[in-house]
Amino acid sequence: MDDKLRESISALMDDEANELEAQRVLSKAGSVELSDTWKRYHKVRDLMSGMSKLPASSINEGALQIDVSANVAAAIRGQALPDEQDNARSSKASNGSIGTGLSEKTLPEVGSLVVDTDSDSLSSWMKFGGAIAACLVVAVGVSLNTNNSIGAHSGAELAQVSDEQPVVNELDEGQVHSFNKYLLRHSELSALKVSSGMAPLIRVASVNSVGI
Amino acid sequence: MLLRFALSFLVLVSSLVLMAGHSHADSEQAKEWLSKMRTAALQESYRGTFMFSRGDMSSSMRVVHRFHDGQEQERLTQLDGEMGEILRRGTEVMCLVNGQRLIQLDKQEFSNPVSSAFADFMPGHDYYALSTNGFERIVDRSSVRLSIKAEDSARYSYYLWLDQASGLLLKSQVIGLNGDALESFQFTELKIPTETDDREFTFDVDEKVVSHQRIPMSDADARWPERLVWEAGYAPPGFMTVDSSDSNSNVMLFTDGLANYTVFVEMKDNKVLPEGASRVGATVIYLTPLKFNEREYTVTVVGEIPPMTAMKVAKGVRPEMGR
Repeated sequence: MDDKLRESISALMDDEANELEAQRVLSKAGSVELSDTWKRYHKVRDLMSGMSKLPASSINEGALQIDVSANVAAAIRGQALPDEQDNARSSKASNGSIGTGLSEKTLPEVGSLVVDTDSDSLSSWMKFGGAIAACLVVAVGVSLNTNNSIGAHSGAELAQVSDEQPVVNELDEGQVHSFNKYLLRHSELSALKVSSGMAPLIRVASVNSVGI
Repeated sequence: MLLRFALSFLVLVSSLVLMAGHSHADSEQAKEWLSKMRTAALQESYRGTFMFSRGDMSSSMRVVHRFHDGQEQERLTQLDGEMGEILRRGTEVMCLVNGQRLIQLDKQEFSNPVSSAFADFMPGHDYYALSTNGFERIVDRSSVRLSIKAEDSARYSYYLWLDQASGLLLKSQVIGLNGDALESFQFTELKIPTETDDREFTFDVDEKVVSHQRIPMSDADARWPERLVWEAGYAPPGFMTVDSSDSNSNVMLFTDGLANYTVFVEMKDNKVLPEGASRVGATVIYLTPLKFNEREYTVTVVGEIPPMTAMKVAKGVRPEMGR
């Protein structure tokens, strides 16, 4: 495991991961090494903060199997978590940082996500879950149209989260076509008014490869 | 004890001064390389093939370039997928798509003073840290590696590999905020200098199948109120606006010397693009609605900048009446 991946895991735990860092961790989601590191970091943090609430037997027996899909889905909907509803816990942890801008259209994509953990730190899971949900949107290529846009934050929402990175939409074929028209005009202006180098024109040429 | 402390302090200060001096010298050296790169990009005659990757897409292209009769001439040919070519002769830029559709891009004059001022524009020291990072062999040539590191999160960083002999750009990467390469370019074959032929800089196409088009983008809407002017209320530090010839300032181009972004303001229509940010490689597009005097508009920001920067720029656009 390289340092970048370790840093990305750490950033996820601290709720400071951007979408690419989350994606980097997700790409290794099946890795035993990643799972072990994730558990180890949680153990260390829980020990340091005195947060560990698991019975010793659970820790000794190894990882718990926790299906976070319900939690991720709840975070995306901005609803209280199933655990919270059952146990009347505080809803503070449901404020998933990245998932709040996602629509229900993305929910089927996160339905089968299962991750190992030996920590029941709910807020950590919500942070991880929110990040995973956000990068799944990128990774699985969710098709969108104007009416069910996942990036459709209202101005008020953006004002509240102005220090967070906006969710990046994945475009379908028709949207790429429209994107390319803007890109072409931008490249054209850049080539003619600012840059004497090839870069803007190369971008135009790469647009041609997918059609304008 | 006091003497030992004073000597230690002196050594420390001397080291810091030497380090600062070395850093400054390295930065100046990097600037010289950038200057050499710009001259080479304009004046060298070369031909080669290169790979260009952005996001999930990558393509290989062939390029031939020369400086002829006082103007830069260049032909780019797409080698993968649908046939596409771009021909540039001075300020004239044409795209040939699939050998049949010829698109004439806007013809602008370079003679305006703002554009001329940017001809030698260097990335500002306040916004990028320039340094040289040794030598590497790229496409069988010795190259010097430059690092242009963004000093804030409003812009991306760059690595450039320049041909040691000519200064020509052999390889480049646009680096995202987390250190990943978002866009990369690299020659896989290159010959400099090279002989060129006039026929290489013309499109040999059947006039019957050629249609000339202009890109139908962002014309100011006739329904707009008179004297309505748009202005960007926010620009990241170091970005300056470049002359906009579009009426009502509905298209605005900004640059910091390396990165560019364009702001479009249009009447709202049934856009297929989603609101918010979308990205291909290092290029982001951010759409946001804007309502003014009961009319609805769409602000679109496109450029090689982080999504967060694009969002701030888009949200900062505002109308101004009565100029």
